[in-house]
Amino acid sequence: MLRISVVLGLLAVSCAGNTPSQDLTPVTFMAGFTPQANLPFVGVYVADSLGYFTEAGLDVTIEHSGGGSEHLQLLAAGEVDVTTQDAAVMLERRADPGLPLVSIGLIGQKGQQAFVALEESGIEAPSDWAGRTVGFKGTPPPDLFAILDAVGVDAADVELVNVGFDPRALTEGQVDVYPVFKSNEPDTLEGMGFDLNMWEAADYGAPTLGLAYVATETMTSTEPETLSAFMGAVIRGLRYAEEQPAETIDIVMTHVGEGGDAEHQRFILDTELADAHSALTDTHGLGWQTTEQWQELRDFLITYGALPEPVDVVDAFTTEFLPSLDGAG
Amino acid sequence: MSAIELVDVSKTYGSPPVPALTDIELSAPQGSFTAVVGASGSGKSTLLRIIGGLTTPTRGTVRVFGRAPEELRVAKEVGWMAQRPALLPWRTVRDNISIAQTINPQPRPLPDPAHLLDLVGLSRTGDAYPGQLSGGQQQRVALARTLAIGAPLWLMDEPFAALDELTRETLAGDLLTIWREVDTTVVWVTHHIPEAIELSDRVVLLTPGPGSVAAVIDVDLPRPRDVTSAAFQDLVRAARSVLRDVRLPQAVT
Amino acid sequence: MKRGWALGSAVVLGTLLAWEMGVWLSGVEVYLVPAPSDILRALVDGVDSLAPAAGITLGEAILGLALGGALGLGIAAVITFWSQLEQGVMSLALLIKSTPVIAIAPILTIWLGRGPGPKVVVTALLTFFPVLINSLEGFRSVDPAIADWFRSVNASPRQYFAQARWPSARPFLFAALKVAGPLALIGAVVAEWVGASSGLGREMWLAYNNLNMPSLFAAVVILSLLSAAVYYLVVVTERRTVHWN
Repeated sequence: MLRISVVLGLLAVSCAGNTPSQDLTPVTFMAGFTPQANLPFVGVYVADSLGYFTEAGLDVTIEHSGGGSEHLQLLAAGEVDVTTQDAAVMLERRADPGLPLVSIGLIGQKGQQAFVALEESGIEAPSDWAGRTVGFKGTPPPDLFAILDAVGVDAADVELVNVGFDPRALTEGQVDVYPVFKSNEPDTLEGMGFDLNMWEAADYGAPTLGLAYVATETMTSTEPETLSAFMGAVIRGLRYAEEQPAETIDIVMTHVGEGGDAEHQRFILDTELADAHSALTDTHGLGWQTTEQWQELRDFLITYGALPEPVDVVDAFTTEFLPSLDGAG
Repeated sequence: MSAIELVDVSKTYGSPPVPALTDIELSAPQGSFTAVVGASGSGKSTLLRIIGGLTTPTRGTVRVFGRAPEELRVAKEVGWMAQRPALLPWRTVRDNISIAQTINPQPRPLPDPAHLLDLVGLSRTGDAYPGQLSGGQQQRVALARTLAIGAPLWLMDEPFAALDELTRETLAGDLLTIWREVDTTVVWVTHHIPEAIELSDRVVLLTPGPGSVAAVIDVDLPRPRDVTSAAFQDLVRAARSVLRDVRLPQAVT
Repeated sequence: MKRGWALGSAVVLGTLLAWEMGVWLSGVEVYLVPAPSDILRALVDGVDSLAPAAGITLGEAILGLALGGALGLGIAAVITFWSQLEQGVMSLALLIKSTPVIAIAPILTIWLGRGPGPKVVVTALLTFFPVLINSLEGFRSVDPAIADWFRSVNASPRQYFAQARWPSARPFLFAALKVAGPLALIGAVVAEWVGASSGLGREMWLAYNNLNMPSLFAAVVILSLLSAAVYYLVVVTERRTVHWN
């Protein structure tokens, strides 16, 4: 199936009389994490595999970050043209140390951060978190405090514990509540045979946002055509992913490699697709973003001390590269 | 009764086997000072190690004080001095001497280490470390250490070979003085003929390897010996001619 | 001696000055190449978190070094007394040494919890091998003349070990500690980086994730200073105990 798509794609390219690859604009894309079915990665994988990039006049090199912040550093240094990043983290990096990051497509209309507890623990709501241990990765996130505020639990009544990236911290009883990405650990834990209760800050009124495609201010001002072509192709790729998820997973697995679990990747894809839609995207298409969205996020982060104030969000995003809803571009 | 008795002793080493000593006949009375002289490779060190129980002969019998050499070694009744003082650099002079008494302690009366320091003329260097002493001084400590063991047999493997002439002379005199007070049996290996004749009662001359006894020269001169006297020089000449004769190429198959 | 220090300091200061000028003239962003002044500021501003973090990492490193050192020494001593064990023990030691620390660290965190345990174990694993190899070499490097003397007085294996092997091995042991000391610090930092915890490793990880280069470099500077301190501690201890040289 994949091969047929590729052949068809190539045929389409040659039939359209497109020029050979010497005339394609080179673009370096670095995914913000290791290969997996995160939605922004998927858009790129599909566009690359089905020839959408070539049709759009682009020759895209796909790379992956190791999991640290190298993708942002490389972007800022001009070694990478487009990367991905969580919206809140992007705002934080704009503030400190002042990276000139711009979101050119907000794919995740809702954030993926959530918290889980084992069903057998008897913790049924965040109000039950009082007197329990709650884990965090790195530093306690605003989402955590937002939930506590929403249910009226004093942060001092909860024991915050620094946990690593191994969900066995929850199953081995090191913490009662564990921080997860909705699209990731819950599937793993349930695969291990554990039933979970899950809560996310968005359910308690927090204006969380998810992953975005990110470029630099320089890039947005000097190469608008390239970015438009890029976004057109990846949005097309995302629409394909929604219509043909099974084929999409095949494409994703070519990047994930031998040790990957296709079912787990499918779970990631389905979960994130669900949060890619909102009233805005219904009207304007996938990836749409508004000043209001970003301002709400900024205020939320300031309230919980994740951002120093004041930070202007107007320059933090743009919709000029997004294709119009009817799919042109 | 001989203190040391070697009968028909031979020693071969390694593979392919190399003969070091052949047909050694040697006897020395109690309290005597025997020198063993030969060129390098004549097996003199091997002979000493056999007497001291550090190695066994391939053939023949060895008796020291009527017992097997190994027995004496285990009972710590053999005092060694080698060309290298082999002092413990991490301990003071005083400790180097007393440690000889604390290792493998034996139930017999032992001399006082402080007295031994005086005896070898190092009364004021007890707290120094071997690294701070000259070669001659280190050998004095080694001598004191040997004395500390209180052994009836001394085996000495060219202990003065690394020292200069003047130091050697002084030490030779002091060693003789000390020896005459303690009544030990000494076997002294050297390649230096005048030294052998100055110190010992009899000189055993070995042929070049494989070593066998070429001759035994008795030294009847009273001690202390005048190295310039005619009698002394005669003995040196006699020893030299023996060694020269055995150095001539021999028709050996 | 004084001239050496002056010259060394001049070189260091000169390099720092050139670095500062380079950053200032090229206008490179602080999140790509921080200037020494940025790093110094981060050091001063961050002393409230960096100082206790340094203390934690140093503590883990020293504990791990002590554990690894004791293990290495102990195993070397055992092999010296029972040489038939050498083959088997060394194979096991090589196996342990070859396991990449990054792979073991997360598993240790699950077994031993989030406290200093995993870091101490990781550090011990890193440091025991150089100590083992050097100690074994040292135990076997007794001056042959001295070895002969001990044999001539029929010293027991235990006496020989205490009076000859152990003192002969001390210079070798210190050589190993000079290597293992700084290595222990790196081990502690790596273990902190991978696992969830406190200490310099965590400060570095946080700084790196926030792309706060000045803070990252500040932590690195502190790590280097600690490393040098541990090294000189070993040198001074050696001078005190191996003073006959």
